[in-house]
Amino acid sequence: MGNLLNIYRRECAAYFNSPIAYIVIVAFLVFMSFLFFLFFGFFSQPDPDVRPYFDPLLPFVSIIFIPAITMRLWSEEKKQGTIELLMTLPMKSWEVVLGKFFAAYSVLAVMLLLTITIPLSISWVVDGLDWKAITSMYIGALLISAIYVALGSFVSSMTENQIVAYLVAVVLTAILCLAGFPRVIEWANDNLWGIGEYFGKFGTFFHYQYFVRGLFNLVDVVYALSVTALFLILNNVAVEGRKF
Amino acid sequence: MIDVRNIYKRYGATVAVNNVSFQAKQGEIVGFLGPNGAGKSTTLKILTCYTVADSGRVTVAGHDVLEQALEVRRSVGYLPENTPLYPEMRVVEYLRFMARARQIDPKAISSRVEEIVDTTGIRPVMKKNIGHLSRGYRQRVGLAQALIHDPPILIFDEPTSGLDPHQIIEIRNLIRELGKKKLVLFSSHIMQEISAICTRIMVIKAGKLVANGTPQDLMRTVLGGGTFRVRIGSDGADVSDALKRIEGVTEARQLERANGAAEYQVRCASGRDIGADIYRLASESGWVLSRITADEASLEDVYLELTAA
Amino acid sequence: MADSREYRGRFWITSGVFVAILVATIILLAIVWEGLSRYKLDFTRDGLYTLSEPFREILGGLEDRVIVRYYVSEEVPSVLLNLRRDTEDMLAEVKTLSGGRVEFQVLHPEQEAKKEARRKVEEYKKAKEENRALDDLEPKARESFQDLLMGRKKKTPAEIRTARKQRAAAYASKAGRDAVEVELEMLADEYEQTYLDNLTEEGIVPRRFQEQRGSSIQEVSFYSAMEIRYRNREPEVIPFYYQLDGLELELAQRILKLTMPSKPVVAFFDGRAPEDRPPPDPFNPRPQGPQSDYQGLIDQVLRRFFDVRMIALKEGDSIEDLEKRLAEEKSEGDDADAGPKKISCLIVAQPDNLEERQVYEISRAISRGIPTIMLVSRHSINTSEGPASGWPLSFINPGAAFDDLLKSFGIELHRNVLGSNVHTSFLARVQRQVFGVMDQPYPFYCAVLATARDDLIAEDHFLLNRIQGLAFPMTNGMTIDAKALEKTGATVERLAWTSPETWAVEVSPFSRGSFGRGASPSSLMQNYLDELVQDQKRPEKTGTDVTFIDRKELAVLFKGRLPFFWQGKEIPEWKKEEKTDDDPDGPTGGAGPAGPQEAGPEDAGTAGEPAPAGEESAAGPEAPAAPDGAATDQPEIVTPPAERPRAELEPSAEGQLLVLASTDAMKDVFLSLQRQVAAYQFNLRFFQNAIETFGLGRQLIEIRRKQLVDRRFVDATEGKQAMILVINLGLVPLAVVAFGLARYLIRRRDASAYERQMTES
Repeated sequence: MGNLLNIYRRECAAYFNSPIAYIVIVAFLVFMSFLFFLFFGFFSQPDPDVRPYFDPLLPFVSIIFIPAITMRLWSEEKKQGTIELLMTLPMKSWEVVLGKFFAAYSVLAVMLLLTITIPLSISWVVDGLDWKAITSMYIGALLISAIYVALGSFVSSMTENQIVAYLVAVVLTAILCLAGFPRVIEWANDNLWGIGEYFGKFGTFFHYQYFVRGLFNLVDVVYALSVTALFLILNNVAVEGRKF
Repeated sequence: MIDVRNIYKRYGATVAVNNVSFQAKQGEIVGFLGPNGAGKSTTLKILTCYTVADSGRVTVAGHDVLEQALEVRRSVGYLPENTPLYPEMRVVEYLRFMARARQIDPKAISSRVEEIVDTTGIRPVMKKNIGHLSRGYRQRVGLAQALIHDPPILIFDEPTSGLDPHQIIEIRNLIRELGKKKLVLFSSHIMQEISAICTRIMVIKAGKLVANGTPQDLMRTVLGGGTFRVRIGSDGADVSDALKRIEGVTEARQLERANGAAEYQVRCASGRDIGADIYRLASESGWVLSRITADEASLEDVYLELTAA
Repeated sequence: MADSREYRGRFWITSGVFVAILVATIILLAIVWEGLSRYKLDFTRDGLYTLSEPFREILGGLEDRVIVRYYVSEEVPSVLLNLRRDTEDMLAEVKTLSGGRVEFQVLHPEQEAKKEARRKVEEYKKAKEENRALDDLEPKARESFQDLLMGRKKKTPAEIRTARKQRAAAYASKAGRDAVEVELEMLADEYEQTYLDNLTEEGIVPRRFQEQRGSSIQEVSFYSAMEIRYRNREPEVIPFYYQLDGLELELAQRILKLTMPSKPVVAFFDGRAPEDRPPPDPFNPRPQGPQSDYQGLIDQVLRRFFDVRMIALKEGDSIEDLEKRLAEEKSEGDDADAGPKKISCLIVAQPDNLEERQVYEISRAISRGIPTIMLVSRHSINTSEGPASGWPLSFINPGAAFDDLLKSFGIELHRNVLGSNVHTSFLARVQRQVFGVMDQPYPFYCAVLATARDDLIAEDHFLLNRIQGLAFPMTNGMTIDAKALEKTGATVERLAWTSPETWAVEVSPFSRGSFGRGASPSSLMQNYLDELVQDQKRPEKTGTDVTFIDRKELAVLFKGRLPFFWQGKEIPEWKKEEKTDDDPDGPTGGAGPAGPQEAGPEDAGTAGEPAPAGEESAAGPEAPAAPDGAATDQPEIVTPPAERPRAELEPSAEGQLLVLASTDAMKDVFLSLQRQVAAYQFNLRFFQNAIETFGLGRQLIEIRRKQLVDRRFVDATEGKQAMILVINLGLVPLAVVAFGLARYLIRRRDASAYERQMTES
């Protein structure tokens, strides 16, 4: 636990003592606010709701931004050679994997929680915002993003090139997310022998949409945690299996 | 303290380490010598549990590297090749991180960092970002992190590469100092520093351990007898052939030639003094023997000899 | 030589096991997702996804697949922006909770029509190539209105085809295109239209919306309807809906109706049924001869979903008789799975001159827990004949006994006709010189309207789901004294009431010397109709002496333990026919109703109180059957006048009584106006709602309409909008940058201070 915390603290410091975290967070906030308020014209909407912020905006923007957070996690260590020191420290590899994961996840959480100013500020001019549902949206976004972070971390541990790590993670995240997208499911149902129904449930968006609706499904929570755990274990395998 | 038995490691088709065995104990400074790509780093990585040998058994400080990797790592201070460091961290932050990672008692961390900062002489740059440090300081920071938990075994991979002579001497002194109490195992491809500070030398070539012993032992076993330099003035007769015919001479070759006299290097098997034989040969042949000296053999020669293709 | 193979093997196996477990978990989750997703928390404030327990029960009890087709236009008008999304969410929830039994499809009618047209045209082309008969493939064109008007004969498919060919050829030559191609395009259009027409026939109709498109405003048509299918039964349709809050109830209603093993039985009593109606014949339910005022309602609406049994409340055709018949039908057993058939709803329409025994029957039915709907008033108007032949106003006298029964519930039915400034119109048939007889709408002050807009109906009541107004033509209004009733454990829910601008008009059968039922006192109506209806003037402007009256109830729902009026009193006998008048003790007399009039409510009150709360509904009617069940069921056995049996009945806790203060409200003459006057459409829907709710079981009653809170902009000035933009696009990101910079500067200052100190020392 001490080791995990130590790694976590170092990684957080690495994010926040260098410009990466700030660049990603600021770009994310500006981009999202721009899309939400200006591009999609929030103020000219008949039904002023924050839901469009979470669906469909957030998943699509996350696909681009979360890999930017995770790409450096392992690739940088490999590039600098520090992985050799890191992996000869007296700690278990999963402690390092988890420490790094939680650090990247913290950056993401900070990023997401800073968006709380959007519902807060629009509640100034909008009557009837459903705060309970908004809570559910945030919980859903945080849970599902954990999957993307774990996936990004895993991809990062496979290469020492950050750009490659980023691009591969973007593609994989997009596939994972969109597999559960209703239109994709529909399309797959119509064009791929009706498999959309079954494969859609592996996609993150399928589960995410329930949180966004305001439904806190136990199954969806278990799904998010399982997939996150799966990628973390794969990450651990990639890190530890390198020994052989 | 280190016991390596028959380790074997392959990367794809290349055999990196082939049936290497050796032992080393406390108080030794072991130099690990070999050309680039000979398997030095791989062997060190196996010892530090960074990688796993395909077969063979390794115990470090009494712990098996496979089953008790954490204990092994705890008793080893390791400075990998090229001194990898986190450039965005400050020296003091880095050392604290490493101290915590090495599981030093949290209360002792501050004092331990202070101590090591002075030992390695990096106090002036304590608050600098590692990325801004000079090569020498970086090396010292690397050493500092390896020493911070006061391990019984120190493993350095090419600790002096890229340093200026002054810095090299400092590092050597440090290693010599450390070697009094600990087992220091370091690799290098530079002869001088090995010969200067090592109590034992191991030479690895193409994954195989080709020599293992004190510098003196090595010279004796590898180079055998002595070498003489002879300056003989002749009228163009074949001096080399004549020299070779002397009993015990294994090799004789002409080095240079000036004013009708030539210099020859003559190598002979151990246990024979061939000075008299040469003298006799010269006087019998009517040559002018103007000089005869016994050559002091160098480790460089040993190394070249061992690693020659 | 030691080997690391074992160590490596252990690592791979452990990792592999973990990965396998997680992959298996994830696959398992995908498989059982539907089943597990009922374990959840509904975070929405409005509980949007918390389907009520009764609906869950209904869904859980489904035996076969129910297919819900949601017909929704691809382009959603901005005012209904989230409708489609929320509906799909809701349907997904229903699907989940039904364990996949309810499947839903989202169809865009416009696209479906195009798809269908394409398919049909291909088929047509193929048939033509193979020289097959094309008649069956012809689009079933709707008869054009003009043709209908001009009385033209319907064209044969061949004629239509020729006409199309000619049109196509004409157009093709003008546009320089291939005639066959044009013809096929025309055909495709027709097929498309046919598809949409078929939807329209099913009741799936688009609504029109004004949409802002750039700078212009366009009208867009928008479908939002549902079709619910079960086995091969006739599908149920929710024609158009735009508010999610009532969807649950509507779906539940439809699903329940579709999946019932047999149609629920509705007993219909028309107080002014034509005299010569033949006795009820189970094999020929449609009566011959003159029709009831409600015949259209019964045949076209009720019989579609209910097993409507006309009941005369006469000796030999009482409620018990009907129940006996139903039991026999059951024992004959056509559907073994079906539960015992019972009367699920009793409708008492325009009670007129009811004898005591008939009222007794009704009272007993109500107290036994048979849900009852009453349409009562003292006046009725038949507008179908129009002023030309006089306004046939008729007087209805429910009878003293019936009035007493109403009083026992605390209802007082007033005597005067109400007029109101909130009213609707009716169609008057007028003679026009050129066109002959035409229907023309007249504002009709006596068609009192209770609207949601004027806050005159209990909008949130489950019976009034999505009903915006109800029309009560020729109503007398009621006042309710709820206190007496509520003591017995029953509750009163007021559903509709009059506006503050309501007045009462005295219409007395004695005022102009014409009286009795069926009279046509057109002169009498003139008093107010001339001024209020035909001159289309508001009363305050005509100088008519109008005094606004206090609020009167127009529709009331009673629930719970409804008192039995005859409790402990002698059971009245059936009135004997004139010819068999051998009974010395005439069944009806002045004393009959006088007695219960005073004692009724108190008796009922005391009878209701001691009843245990948790008693089963069935216990009500059965409990008294033991002491004198024979007497209740077969009153003719007991003849001695001195020892007439006394009525005993434990009122059921589940009684339901809906009273509407207008007999005309559901009459065919008014309901037939529903295309022109929306209020009558609502009337019909309300009536249907009520019968369905009563007839389809208690579950529906408990499905409450959800209260959704609308999000809307409040005081969203330009300044505030700009401020919000500045905060989110500027201040927050800047704050992050500032934080980073501050951190960087503090660290740098710290480092340089240290360096200075080092160089100094």
